[in-house]
Amino acid sequence: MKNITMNVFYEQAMALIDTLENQEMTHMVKASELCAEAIKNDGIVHIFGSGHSVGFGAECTGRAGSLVPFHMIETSDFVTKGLTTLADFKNPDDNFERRPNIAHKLYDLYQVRPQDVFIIISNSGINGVVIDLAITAKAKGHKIIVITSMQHTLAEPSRHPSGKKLYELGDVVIDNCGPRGDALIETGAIEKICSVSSITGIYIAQTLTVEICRILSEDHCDIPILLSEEVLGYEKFNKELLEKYKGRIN
Amino acid sequence: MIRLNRKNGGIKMNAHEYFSETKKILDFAKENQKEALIQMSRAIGDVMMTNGLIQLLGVGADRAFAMELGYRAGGLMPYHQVNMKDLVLRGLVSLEEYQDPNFLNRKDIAKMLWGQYNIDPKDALLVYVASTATQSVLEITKFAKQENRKIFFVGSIKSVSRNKVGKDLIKLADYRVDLCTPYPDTLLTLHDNIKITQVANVVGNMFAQMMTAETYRYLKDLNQDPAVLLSANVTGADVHNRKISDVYLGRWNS
Repeated sequence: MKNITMNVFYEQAMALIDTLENQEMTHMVKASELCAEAIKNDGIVHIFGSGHSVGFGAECTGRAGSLVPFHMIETSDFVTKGLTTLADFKNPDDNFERRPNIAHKLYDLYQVRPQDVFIIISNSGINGVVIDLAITAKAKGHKIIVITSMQHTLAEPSRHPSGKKLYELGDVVIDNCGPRGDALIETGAIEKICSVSSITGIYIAQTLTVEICRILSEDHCDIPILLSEEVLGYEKFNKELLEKYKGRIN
Repeated sequence: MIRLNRKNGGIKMNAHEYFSETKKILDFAKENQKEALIQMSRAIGDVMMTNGLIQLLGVGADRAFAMELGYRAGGLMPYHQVNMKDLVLRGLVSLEEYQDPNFLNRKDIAKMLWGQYNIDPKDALLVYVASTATQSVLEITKFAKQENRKIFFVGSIKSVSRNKVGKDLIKLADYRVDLCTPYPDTLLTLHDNIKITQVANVVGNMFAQMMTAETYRYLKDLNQDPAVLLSANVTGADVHNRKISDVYLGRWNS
């Protein structure tokens, strides 16, 4: 067995974060420009990731210091909004996130306006639901930001009937810089351990927040940020802001 | 609405600042919590060696830690996620109730949720709270403690211990890891006292993966064969993952 310690992971993960910052900043700024443009035009940003990629949306929404016009789409909305049963959703023999031809139903569940932008996250970028939502949103004229592992997606065949992969549908593609299979540390056996895409995903999410705020500020536009209610008076500000986007972000 | 421009000071940051500031916090947290991380990782390994699962609890944005350990590519198999949304998915509460701002402070939902799962006497509970503990999380932890389970706590001690619920929660833990992150969980100053971006989950997810490495090594050193999941999006992984998850069938997916 190779020498595996938490420090080994830490050092490799930090090196990868440096790679992300150096290699992908241009793409992250470009993505921020698309989001800022949507927000300036009273649009919102829809965020969709299936599996562990749902964490990206959770990182961006509903917290003090986050932008309000972000809407998180979850595959479990299929169940909570009555489009399928829990048994079907959890069927181990027919993995839900791999299914094609269902994502258009997700799109129809929400209040989507023409100026809205979509961020679609998938480490592999090969599964049915994410690719279909990207196809649907693109066909409706929305800008698509894709976050994926280029190393992984280029190494695996698409599971979508079209043969397409998610990155091919992106107006902007951000590489999360993770390795194929997501795990980073060699063990000497077939398995590698310790995944990294959620960590680099958080950095991408937070970078978008910073850059969108910067762009809105430079363009003299309102910055719709959720404030910490520890500060007196901010509760009212938050309430009004949430009211403005009510029904579109929740 | 906030409107900042060059006349009133504008904003002086860019995203590189987020990278540099978080790295300082990460470096400090890693060094400061080194021993706590090792002890917790080994204790988790001890639970796994008895065929126990670690029940992972976190609500709202605090689900991040559970998602980082539970059924994760390159992660260890013996984890189960306690997910508040299961109450909605299983038809026990309505979506409207779930979206009520006070929902997570209802005491009754703790028993309802804990009772949903097939929890073995050997299982332990790991609670993650980045910033503010809710009553329902405290109640679930009390149930687990009453059942003599080992309790692991990961969170920002400074933030969580601000109120009685948080203090009580931390006291219940047998093992604690501190994220060493500030309160409130915001990082960069946009203007005056307006802050944007968060850092707790960066440290949390990093710690989750560091603990995976330590638990893996601990089990290997004891001549165990840790069950590691492969990415489901690599050809051939389904067979491997099904084989190692079937050992816990009805528990990991209860």
